[in-house]
Amino acid sequence: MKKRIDPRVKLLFIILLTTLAVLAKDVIYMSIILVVGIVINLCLKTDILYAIKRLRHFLSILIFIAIVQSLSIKGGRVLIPIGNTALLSTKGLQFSLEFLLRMSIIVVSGLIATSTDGREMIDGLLKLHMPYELAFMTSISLRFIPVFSEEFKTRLNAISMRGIDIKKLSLPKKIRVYAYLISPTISGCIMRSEVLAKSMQVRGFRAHPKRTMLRELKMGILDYTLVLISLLIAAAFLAGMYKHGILVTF
Amino acid sequence: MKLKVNRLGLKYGKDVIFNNLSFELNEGEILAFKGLNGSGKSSLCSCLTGLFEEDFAKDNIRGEILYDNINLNNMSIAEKCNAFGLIFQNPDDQLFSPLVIEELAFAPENLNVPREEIQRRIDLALKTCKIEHLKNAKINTLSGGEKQLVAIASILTMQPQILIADEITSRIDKEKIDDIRQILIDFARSGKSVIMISHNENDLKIASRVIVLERGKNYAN
Ligand SMILES: Nc1ncnc2c1ncn2[C@@H]1O[C@H](COP(=O)(O)OP(=O)(O)O)[C@@H](O)[C@H]1O
Ligand SMILES: [Mg+2]
Repeated sequence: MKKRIDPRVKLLFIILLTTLAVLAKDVIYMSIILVVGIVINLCLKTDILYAIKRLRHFLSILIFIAIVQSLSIKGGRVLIPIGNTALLSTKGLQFSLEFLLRMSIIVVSGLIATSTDGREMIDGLLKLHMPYELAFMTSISLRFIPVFSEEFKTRLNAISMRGIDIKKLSLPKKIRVYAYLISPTISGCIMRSEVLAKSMQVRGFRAHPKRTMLRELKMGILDYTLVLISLLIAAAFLAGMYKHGILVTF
Repeated sequence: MKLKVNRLGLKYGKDVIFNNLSFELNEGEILAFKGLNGSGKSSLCSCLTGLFEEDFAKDNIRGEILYDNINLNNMSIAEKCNAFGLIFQNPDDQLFSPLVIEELAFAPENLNVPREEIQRRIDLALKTCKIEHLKNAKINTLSGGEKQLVAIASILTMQPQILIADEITSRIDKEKIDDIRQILIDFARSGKSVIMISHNENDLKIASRVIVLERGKNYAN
C-alpha cells in the first residue's frame, strides 16, 4: 500500500489555513493562501470540481452577498459613478473580494478532509485524545446532512406527485409548503437516527470506556516534515502580515 | 439450555403484539419464527437483544429472558454482545460506516478485542460470507445483496453465541441463498445457536423447530 499522509497532518493543514484566512486582511496574501490550499488539494487528489458542483447553491449565495457588500460599502476611490454618488468604490470592491477569498479558503481547506478514507479522520481525532463518543458523534452528525436533504426531497417529491408544482408557486406559498414539510422531515431524521443508535448499541458501542482501533496511525518522516514545513510557512505568513499591518485586529 | 424465554409479552401502548410467549433454545439448534408482516417478528428480535429503553420496557414488556440463567436486564453491554448478535432486516438500517472493513471492525473494536485478533476475525467473516473481494470497498457502492452479506459479516466478527437473523434471505439472489443458509447451518454446527426469522419455506427446512407468530396472540396455553 502506498504511503498515505497521516490524518493528523491534514487536520493541521485545515487548522492553519482557516486560521490564516480569518486573520488575513489583504487580497494578495489571501490569494496566495487560497492558491496554497488549492495546491494541497491537488496533491491530495481531492475532487475539487465535484465539490464545486455540489456546493454551487452555497457558492452562488456567497457571490450574491459579495456583490451586495461591494455595492453597499463606500469609500476610497470611485470606480463606477452614477450621477454624483458611487455605485462601486475601491473599498467596497476590496471588502467583498476579501470576503470571497476568506470563504473560498475555508471551503478549500474543508475539502482536505475529504481526501481521507472512511473514518481515518475519527482515528486522527482519537489519537489527539478526543473521547471516542464525541469523535463518532461529530462524524455521524456530518453524515446526517445528506440524510436530512434526502428525507426532505422524498417529501417534496410526494407533494409534487400530488400535482403541486413547487417552482410555479409564489414565494409566500413556497415558504408555507417548506414549513409544512419541516416537521415530517425532522421526525424522519429522528427515526433514522434511532435505528442507527440501535445498530451501534447491538454491536457494543460504549461497552467500555476505551476501544481498540483497527487502523494503526503512525506519523512517518514525511508526516513530521510536512508538519514542520507547514508550521514554518504559516509563521512566515503571519510575520509578513504583521509587518505590513494587514493582520485582523480584534 | 442457552436461552430460556418465559411468558414474554410485548405491547406498543394499547397495541398488544404478543403475550405469554415461551420457548427455549439449545446449543447447536436453529429455531425459526415465521408470521405475516406486522406479526411482531422484528419486535421480538428487539426484545431479545434488549433494544427497548428501560422506561418503555417497564410498561410494555412482560416476562423474562434468561441467557445462561442470567436475566437479560442484568447483563452488561459487553455480555449482551457476547450472547446475541442481531442481523437487521434491512442492511441500510444496520450499516453506517464508510468502508466495509470499518463496519466489520466496529463491534470487536467496541469490545476491546486486540488488533491482530480483529484482523483475523475480519478475514474469517469475509471468507465465510464469500466477500473477500469487498474488504476495502466503500459500502455506498455495494448492491443490496452485497450489503446484506456485509451486514452478516459485521455481526460474525462480534462472535456472538446466538445469531439472530431477521429475514436475511429476502434480499439475496437465488444463487446465493444457499450460501446464506450454509452460513447459518455452519454457525449452529459450531456449537452455537441461531434464531431465524423467515417466510421462505426452504429457509424453514434448515430449522429444527418453527414457531408461528400471530399478531396479538396469547400463547398461554
Ligand atoms: N416502535 C414502534 N412503535 C409502535 N408500533 C410499532 C413499533 N415497531 C413496530 N410497531 C408495530 O408493531 C407491529 C409489528 O411490527 P414488526 O415487529 O416490525 O413486525 P414484522 O417484523 O413481523 O413484520 C407492526 O404493526 C408495527 O407497526
Ligand atoms: Mg420485520
